[in-house]
Amino acid sequence: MTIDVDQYCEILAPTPFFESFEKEELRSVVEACEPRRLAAREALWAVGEKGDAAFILIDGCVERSYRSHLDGQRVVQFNSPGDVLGLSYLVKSWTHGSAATAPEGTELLKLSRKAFEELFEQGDAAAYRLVDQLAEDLVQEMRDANRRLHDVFGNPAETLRSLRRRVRQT
Amino acid sequence: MTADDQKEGIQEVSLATGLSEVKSIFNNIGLFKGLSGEELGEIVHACKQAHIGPGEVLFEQGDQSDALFIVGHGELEVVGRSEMGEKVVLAILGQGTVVGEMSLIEGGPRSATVRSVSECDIFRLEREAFDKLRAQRRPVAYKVILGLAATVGERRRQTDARIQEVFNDPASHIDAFESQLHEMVGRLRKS
Repeated sequence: MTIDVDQYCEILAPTPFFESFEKEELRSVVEACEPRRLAAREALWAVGEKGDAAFILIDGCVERSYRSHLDGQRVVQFNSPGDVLGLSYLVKSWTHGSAATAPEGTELLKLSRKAFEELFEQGDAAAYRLVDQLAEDLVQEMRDANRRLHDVFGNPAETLRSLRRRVRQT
Repeated sequence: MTADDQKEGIQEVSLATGLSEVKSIFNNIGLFKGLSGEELGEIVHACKQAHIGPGEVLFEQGDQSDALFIVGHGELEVVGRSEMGEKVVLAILGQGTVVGEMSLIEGGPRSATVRSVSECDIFRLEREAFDKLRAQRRPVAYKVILGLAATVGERRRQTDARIQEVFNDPASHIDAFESQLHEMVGRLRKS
């Protein structure tokens, strides 16, 4: 299927992630993507799979679920056009620690790491914009990791209670 | 030299270290992996070089971070405070070690104090200088951010794996957390 670039750009231009992108930069990103359609309950990725792409939501919904040591399974919903999933997989092909599934028919754009690297190598300003966004995410990612580390290893009394509870449950 | 430099006791000096020697130190730093010789040169030129004597404090825990530091020569120690307020040496950093990478993209308080153990030559890359490279759309700045993203991503995954390990096998970690708690209570009683 041929991507209707103009239509995608129109959808994405006003969204929070892409609003700082110049028209040509957004166009470059969209042109580097390939469309991906998911049927209801179809998986975008599963735990343990290697990730090598970021995904931009166009229409529908994706639920990302992961296991939290504090309160079991957590689900984060992505349901606004322009929501971006897996931006960090543009940097490296890490293994997914979460699962992502579409609860309904969903349309996305897939930006592979290879396509991103080509944009970057060409010195395309769109790639630099993506890296700027990545830098924003990094700060949050680092804070979250530090908080989780502190929750578990900085509060031994609370962790001990959780561990004992778990042992009793098994 | 900025007011912050003076506060941190840093004296800017002209080092005898040649550019090629500096480049060879920088070349072995993971954060700068994949940079061309020319790009490494851009980073070196964006850095301030400084010399500090033994026992001098580079920054204190809680200070606002605005720069990354690279050890050129000598040794630094990272000092934190335990829950009881005791000083604990967390790490010794030698040549080619980077301190405070995240300062390049965000401010916020320093998580530990860093001071010199010996005479040290250090390189200071301020966020302001790095932001200039970003504003000029210099590829080197973006390569460094990608390097940073790889490092942070790796650390985050290691953190998650460590936590997962504890909660996947709670029975075999209870003893370790009990001991930690008893030690804390013991120190509290002592103090």
